[in-house]
Amino acid sequence: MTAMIAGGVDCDLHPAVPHLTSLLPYLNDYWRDQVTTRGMVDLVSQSYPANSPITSRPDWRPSKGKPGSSLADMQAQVLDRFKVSYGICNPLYGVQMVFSEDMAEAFCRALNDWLVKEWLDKDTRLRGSIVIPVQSVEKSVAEIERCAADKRFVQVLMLVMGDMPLGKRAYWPIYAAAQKHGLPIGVHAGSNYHNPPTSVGWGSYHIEDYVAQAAAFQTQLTSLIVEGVFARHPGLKMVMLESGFTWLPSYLWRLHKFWRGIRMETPWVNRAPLEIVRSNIRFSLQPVDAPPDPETLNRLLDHMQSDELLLFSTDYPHWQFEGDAALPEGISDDLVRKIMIDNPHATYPRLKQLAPA
Amino acid sequence: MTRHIVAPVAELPPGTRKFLTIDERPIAVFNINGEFFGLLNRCPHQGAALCEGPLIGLAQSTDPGTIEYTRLGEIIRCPWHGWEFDIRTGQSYCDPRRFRAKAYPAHVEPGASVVKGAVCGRDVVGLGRTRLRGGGFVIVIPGRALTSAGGSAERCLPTRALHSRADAERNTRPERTACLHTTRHANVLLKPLNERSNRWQTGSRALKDRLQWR
Amino acid sequence: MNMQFRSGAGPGASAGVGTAIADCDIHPARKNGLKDLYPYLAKRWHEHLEVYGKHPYQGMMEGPPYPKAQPNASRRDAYPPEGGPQGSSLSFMQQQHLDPNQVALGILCPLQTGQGIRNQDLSAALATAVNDWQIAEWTGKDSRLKGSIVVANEDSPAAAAEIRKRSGDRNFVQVLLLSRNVEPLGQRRYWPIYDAAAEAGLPVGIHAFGFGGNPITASGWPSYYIEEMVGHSQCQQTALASIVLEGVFERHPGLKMVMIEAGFGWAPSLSWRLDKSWQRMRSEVPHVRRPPSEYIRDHIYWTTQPMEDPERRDHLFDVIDWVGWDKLLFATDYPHWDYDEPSRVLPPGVSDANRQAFYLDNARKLYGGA
Repeated sequence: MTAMIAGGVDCDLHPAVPHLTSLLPYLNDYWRDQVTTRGMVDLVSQSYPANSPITSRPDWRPSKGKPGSSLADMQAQVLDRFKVSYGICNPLYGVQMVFSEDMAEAFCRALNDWLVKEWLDKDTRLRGSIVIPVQSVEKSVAEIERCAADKRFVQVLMLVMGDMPLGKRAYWPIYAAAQKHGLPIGVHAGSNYHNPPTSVGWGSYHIEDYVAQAAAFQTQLTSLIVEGVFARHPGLKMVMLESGFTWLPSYLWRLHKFWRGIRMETPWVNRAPLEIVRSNIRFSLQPVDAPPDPETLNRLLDHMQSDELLLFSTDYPHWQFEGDAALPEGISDDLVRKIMIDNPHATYPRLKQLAPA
Repeated sequence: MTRHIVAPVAELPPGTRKFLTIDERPIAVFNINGEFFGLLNRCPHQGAALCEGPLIGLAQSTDPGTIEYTRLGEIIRCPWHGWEFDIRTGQSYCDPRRFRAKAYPAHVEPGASVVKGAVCGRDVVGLGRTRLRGGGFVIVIPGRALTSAGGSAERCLPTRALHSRADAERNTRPERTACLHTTRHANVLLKPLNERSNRWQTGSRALKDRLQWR
Repeated sequence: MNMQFRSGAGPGASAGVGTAIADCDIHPARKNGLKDLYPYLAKRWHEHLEVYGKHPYQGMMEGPPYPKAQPNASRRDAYPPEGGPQGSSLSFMQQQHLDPNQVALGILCPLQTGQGIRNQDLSAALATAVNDWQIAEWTGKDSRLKGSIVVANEDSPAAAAEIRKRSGDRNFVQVLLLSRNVEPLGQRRYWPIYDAAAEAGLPVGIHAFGFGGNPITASGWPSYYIEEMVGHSQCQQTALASIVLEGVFERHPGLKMVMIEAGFGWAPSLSWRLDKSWQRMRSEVPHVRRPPSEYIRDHIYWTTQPMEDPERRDHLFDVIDWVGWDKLLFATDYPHWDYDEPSRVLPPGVSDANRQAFYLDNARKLYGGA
């Protein structure tokens, strides 16, 4: 087993909102009453049904309540155990699924305030991602501006499957705001289910949806690159969270091949796609969709042609690895250090702005 | 360097190209606004007949949505994968470091200084040959019509004629207007043409006006 | 790097690889559009097409929603001298491609047929007409060519009937589907197609494209043609995952499928991801009795075009090792613009046995010898 080193950054933690009613203290009177008088229920995404095996590793599943809803558990099971210096919280509460932009805005504000009060205030290692109401670009920008003042927010969170491809210009004010504040955009696995969760329609199974996340990241990466998001926002970084990464090399070969012939369609793409990925895209470590033998994975890492792309993550409490085997077998000490410490800090400059106590 | 005579200038008007074979190398010579350029008629990618491709301009952008379209008629698209090459230099636009079409310099010399009877050239159907001695070579175009025979049977194919064969088979317009059609309907802001391109547009005011979109 | 100059061959002329090859993705076209199918279509459809058109699962009456990179998505030098669009002349196809490349076995995958349209009676009528047309104009005239049975993809009983009708006809070597349909291809509504194909002992080819009314990404409709072209890879990944996870190969242990024109480089990472997810969530899909990668390994072939093209050839060889040299079927996609020239796709360093398998033997084993 590859040993972890202390002082790492866990770039993908999922603190869980126990229930919609947990957000009531953070809603205004109108929304508080809307929730209660209309009998609104919990916003749980199909992407992570509470009892699905992927949603929680068995030994991380609490006897009561949602996996990931207890700070004490997170501390014991990951933060203390793996001796991380920082942990970035990416709440996956299903606020992106609602259709009303006003409702989404209210819930996102509440969610971000809840994260601060119940998590960031209680453990100085923790950092957060600003969940934005993508239903409205304007409101998303406002929420970024509101939360960015708190330096413990280090990222803006979006889902990989939304209403339209992420590269579309309509989203660009969000990217401009994020770049302005030194906030990477975290694109996390999951869907708002406003479109079929695969590019060929609605499948039957949860496992099918989960496998299809990787394909969704691929089409989004194409969109981000060819629409020229990084031509307009060269300082912006985007982190693919819970995306898998072993698909990356062959995906880039194909994109590169077509780009050479259809360059004129998107002439603002004036660097090879691999170079754009190297400069502006990162991937969280888990899940490592790799074969069991370390040799093959090392060959694949060679195909990636960069040791700066991977950021350590446990994806807690999702079930991606057993025991303490958060790092793949057989990788070098150098690469361990890059993955656990150097790459995350290079990606999230705001991390160190407030050192943990 | 060995000089090879291609054709009288009158036989290669601006916007046209002429195909020839020199020492078994298929080469095309282009007239761009009165300047002449030679390219090996073989794409460095997978070997397609590069010089039979359409001529377009150079699309560049430093800001997504804003396209600067210049150098009309100076960029050739490979008929297969569409890679763009600069006729002046052979440089590719998709990977200038690694891929380049072989370019041959060409210039005009007054007819009197040219050796008679050494004209070679063909249209796309026929083939002419001549021997190459030594290494690289220069293609030379005499400035006056040659009195010797040989040239009259060979035709230069104007750019539009190449397309007319294709045009008959497809429902798209010839390349230049097709490009404009696309960019206009895409609502793209086109910057004013630069001076070089303005020369190309001389006499076509309506065309130029259409390009000043928005 | 630049291609070395080869004397003797005319510019753009294919010179082959020195031995006979298979081409597992050739696109025959019609000279006069749908009119060429009229001899094989009941008269009622002639007027119907002229009045109402095909009524596809996308908005354009003519042409594709994402404009292509070249006219007719084809090589500009592939226009036949006698007229007609690229790929519409057998004699020119022979002259430009089949003969110089020594194509011993060419698999036809007709596009722009009745697949992906909303009128199911018309879809079935066009399918059978295209199949008759393949025999009359192509396979019946050049024995190197073999056809694919085009079927009404959204009306699977009709599709199954068409397969049964053609079963045993040596003009056809596979059933053809496209990767984008109303539902993912593993869904039950398509099972009668697989039942019939398995019964007929035919593989099912799944070619890129098609329309089923779904946005072509899981996050909506992208802007550019390049996104569609790169996106065929993602569409086939999800179509294949559906086929595996719905248990199509448990139902048909002998059925083979061919992934056409979507690349193969993604096969290892998809297999690994499927296996890992299956280890966690196999209780949801008890009918999937084995690790998904085993089904992929046992049942799936991959055509090579567009060939994976990394800068380093050892990376390419890694991926082919992981996929299997015995699983690749060489294809050019003639006459399309992203055509792979046979002599240019394999870097040096491939053993003779692997080259032979890659260029011909795998196809012969799967489709039967030419």
